[in-house]
Amino acid sequence: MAVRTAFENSNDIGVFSKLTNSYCLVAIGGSENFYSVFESELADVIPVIHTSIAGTRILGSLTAGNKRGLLVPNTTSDQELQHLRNSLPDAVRIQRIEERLSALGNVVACNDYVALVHPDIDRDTEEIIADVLGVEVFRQTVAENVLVGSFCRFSNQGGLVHPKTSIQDQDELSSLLQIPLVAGTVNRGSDMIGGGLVVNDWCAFAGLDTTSTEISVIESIFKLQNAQPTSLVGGMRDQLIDSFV
Amino acid sequence: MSSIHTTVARALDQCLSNTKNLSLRRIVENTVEGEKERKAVFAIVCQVLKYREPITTIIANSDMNQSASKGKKASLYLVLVYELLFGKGFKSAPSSLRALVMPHKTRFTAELAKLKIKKRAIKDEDLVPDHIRNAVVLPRYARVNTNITSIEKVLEALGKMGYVLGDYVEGLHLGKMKPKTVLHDPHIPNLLILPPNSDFHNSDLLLKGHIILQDKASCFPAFILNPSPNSTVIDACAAPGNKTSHLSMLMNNTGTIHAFDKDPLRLQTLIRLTGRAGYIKAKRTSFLDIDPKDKTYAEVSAILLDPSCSGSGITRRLDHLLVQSAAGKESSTVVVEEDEADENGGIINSEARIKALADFQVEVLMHAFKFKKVNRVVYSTCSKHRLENEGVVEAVLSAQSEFQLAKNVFPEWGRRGVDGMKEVIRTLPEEDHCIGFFVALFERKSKA
Repeated sequence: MAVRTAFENSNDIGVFSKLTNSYCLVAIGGSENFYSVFESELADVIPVIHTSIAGTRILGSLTAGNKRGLLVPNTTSDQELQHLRNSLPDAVRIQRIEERLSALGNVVACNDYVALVHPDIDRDTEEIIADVLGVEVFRQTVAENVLVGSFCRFSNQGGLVHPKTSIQDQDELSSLLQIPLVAGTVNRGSDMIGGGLVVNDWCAFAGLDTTSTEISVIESIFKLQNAQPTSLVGGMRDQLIDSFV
Repeated sequence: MSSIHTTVARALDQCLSNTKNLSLRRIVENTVEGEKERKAVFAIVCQVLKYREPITTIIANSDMNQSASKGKKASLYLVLVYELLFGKGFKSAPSSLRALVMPHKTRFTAELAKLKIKKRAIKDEDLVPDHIRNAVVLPRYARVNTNITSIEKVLEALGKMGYVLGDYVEGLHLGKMKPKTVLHDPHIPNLLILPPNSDFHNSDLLLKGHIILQDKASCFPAFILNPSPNSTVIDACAAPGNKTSHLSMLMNNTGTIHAFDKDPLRLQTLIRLTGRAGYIKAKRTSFLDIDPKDKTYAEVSAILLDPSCSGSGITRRLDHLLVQSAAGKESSTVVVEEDEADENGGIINSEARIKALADFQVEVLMHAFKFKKVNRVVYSTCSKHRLENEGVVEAVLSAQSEFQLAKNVFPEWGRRGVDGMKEVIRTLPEEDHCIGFFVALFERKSKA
């Protein structure tokens, strides 16, 4: 299911939050409104964590992560790191990395299996991403933009890319990621997909300006109709199979 | 201390700068001591060469330290990247070698994935260039030496080695035979077909001369000449003696065979190979220096003539691995008998050389026709050039009137000469599963 929300009158919610299949980070704002939207959708399944990164609220732009791990820039303070360590599930690895391109959220786009990264990212960072997040790492551009994290967003089900991505590029990306892709917009025609949208495998949050057409594209490409958290489905499946046997 | 990877890299260096035009196996033998390691090295070298093109692309695309991957260590990188991406990994490698590629592992795997998408490859195998993947693989042929043993005994010995006798089925892909099977050849008696990778170099069968590894096509000349027992035959360019021994076998080890070759070293091979066949008189001389009027050769009734040729019908096993795809498709047909290839040195086929060879071939054929009692002359080459085959035949037919092409030669064989020359025989490696060969049988015109 896709939900519309805004962070203190800003539609770029992807800048202020990070959503994965095993945790959700939300920036500390003036009101709890933004946090509540996430919590009402997710709290039963995954932890929704209030945090700042390097004292700022733009944690979506600064961090990269998936269900296996979280990467934070080296400007992250020790307290923040400790807080994240305490709040994140034990299975999630957290790693602070030295990278010149410190806005990790803008230079890395990933799901649980593949990461697209800025072509100029450091060789060591590349190895750390592969190791901590357990993904294949591809240096890529999206519609000739190097900030892959800002101009596309994908889950394990599907992905939305910059509206000016050529069909050929879409095909190539789609074969790299092994998921269906569609070119589209959020927030009433904005091409900053990563800024206006956060998704995981069963729910999505988009900026308040996102039109219903855009929402329906998002729901269909990310397969959000009738989607349920995999952990719940898994649990139920065990029981079902139990009763059948 | 050297690990297997550095040894492989050294062998690879030799292969890639193959100035002496040696066979792959020979190169590995030269670089590696020790039987056991040699086998392992050879296997890896073959695999690395197979994947050389994709690996080079991957290394180039992953813009790692260029100077490192280009200079002296280029081959080492080829080996290590092969092991990393396609091989079984390198747990055995010392850390100094691992350190060369492990920092780039993520990038290499990413480039591999991208390359696969670009080439629309589903499996790693699909990245192997077409000319290597579709290279013609020929089966091994083993001719049973019936002078000292029988086909039943050989089959029994093979049975002990685990080989099972199968049935020859028309249209069977002989290059992809099941391992450890053996078939009777449908055309040549006493010839067995074995899978391509059969290894006999240590087997008693081969060492004692019970079997002779000889390509099917090179059995044709003697088979077609089919000399009668007790006759006198000349093998004009005999070394290394496979065809000579075939002749003696067809004559039930009777009669006399005069075998000539001008190369003393190769004549030694012949004597060694045919030593126990008896009745073979080997002489180091050029056939052209033999006087047809000499009394020694007065009784000669048939001549087998397999003169030097360009050898364009053959290349050695695995040579396709050494050919870059850009170098063209021509040499992608792979072939068997090493001695055949050695006979013809490299595969240098300038037009002038072929012309010179053809002139020589015409000359020896004309010389063969001068023997008074000779009734049958079989001429063969392992070339696919028309000039050396049908061209030579046309030239000798128009130059004399005593001999003509025999009619109805080997009618079971469907593939005939080009340009409508129905009397001569050709083979095509891709379809006949033997080396590219040409055979023509001349017979003396009847007096009437």
